[in-house]
Amino acid sequence: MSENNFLNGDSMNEKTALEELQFIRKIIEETKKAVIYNGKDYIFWSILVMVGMLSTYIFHMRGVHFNYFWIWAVLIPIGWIFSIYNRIKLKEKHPSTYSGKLIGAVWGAAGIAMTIVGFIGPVKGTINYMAISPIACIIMGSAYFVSGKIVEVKWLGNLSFGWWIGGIILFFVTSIHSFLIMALLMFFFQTLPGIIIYKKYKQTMTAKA
Amino acid sequence: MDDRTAIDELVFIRKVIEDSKRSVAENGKGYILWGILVFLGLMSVYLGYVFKLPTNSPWVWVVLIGFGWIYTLASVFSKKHEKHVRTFAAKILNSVWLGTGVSMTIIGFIATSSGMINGLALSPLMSTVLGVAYFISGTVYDSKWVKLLALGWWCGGIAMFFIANIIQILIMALMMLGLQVIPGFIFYFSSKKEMK
Repeated sequence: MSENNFLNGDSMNEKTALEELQFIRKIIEETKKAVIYNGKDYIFWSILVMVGMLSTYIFHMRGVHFNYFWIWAVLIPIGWIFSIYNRIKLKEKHPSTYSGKLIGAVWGAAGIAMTIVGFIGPVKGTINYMAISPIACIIMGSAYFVSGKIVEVKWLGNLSFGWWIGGIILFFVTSIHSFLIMALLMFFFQTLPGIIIYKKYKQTMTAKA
Repeated sequence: MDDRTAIDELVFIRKVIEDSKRSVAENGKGYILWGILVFLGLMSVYLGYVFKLPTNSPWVWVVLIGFGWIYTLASVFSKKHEKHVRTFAAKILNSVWLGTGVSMTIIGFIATSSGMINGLALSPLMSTVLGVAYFISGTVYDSKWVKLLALGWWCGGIAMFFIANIIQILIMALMMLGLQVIPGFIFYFSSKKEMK
């Protein structure tokens, strides 16, 4: 059907045709941007990592020595279980969008990479335990950089610079204080943004209701 | 009603659909160039070590990676000046590889100079980071085989964490050919086909 036939057709009112077209355009543009995301993963993971970092720091400072690896062996699987649960719950509530799928891929892939580095890297001593935090920061930087572009939110993308700079600093901090710095980075660049995203999600849901 | 507006709307919708298709086939050159540069760097380390040649120098990397960044930034700027609309998918892919490039440069240059990362940790780390980029790219392309490349990078990274000798460098070089340069050529030829 040619454009002119389409516009002059008897079966379709011209005004309706234009409205339909504008509606389709709006949907295309909205689908690109719409990310139904509640930010719970950001908050939950950041709390887990802060618990891990601070407990390692406190145990070490108080002279309680054991293999701290076990703290992470408990915390990280809890994080993965929560993320999978949260994803299933979100899928039940909202239809998946292209942007939502991309955000899922970004954080899923970043999580896999950090798990490999944190759990497999140190097994043979290839990765020094103190190097795990800065490497995780660098990976987080990439993940935030891409996330900011996907949702087209500048401040979210700019968090990547905080992570990258934090990671560079941590590469030069060889003392136990590295754990404390990482906990602080986690609070400012993950927990707080997570709370902001969660609040916005709540507002959107209320507006929709 | 303004007929022109309706036609504009239709043209926009058609353009979005065609752009999205084209953007998926857009690149390939970056993959090939970076793959070859890193392959050359790795081979210079390997051959330098095995045959005691003077090629095992950090300056080789400075030149290769510097060249890669100049090419990448130049192509990003030239694309920005082009008049055609950049698609959402193309923007995301750009940010994925830019973010990955920054991360790999920090790990490769700053982390090693701090002494926190030793030379044998570099290849497995780079491989793990590349896995992230390929996984996201595979989701953008909606392509299973690109996602499988991510799996290849991650499995290779895990294996290399356990290979603490010079063979690791050779494995990484071969992975670079198989999982980066060859896919780059596949992207390149399919984009040529798409453009026709």
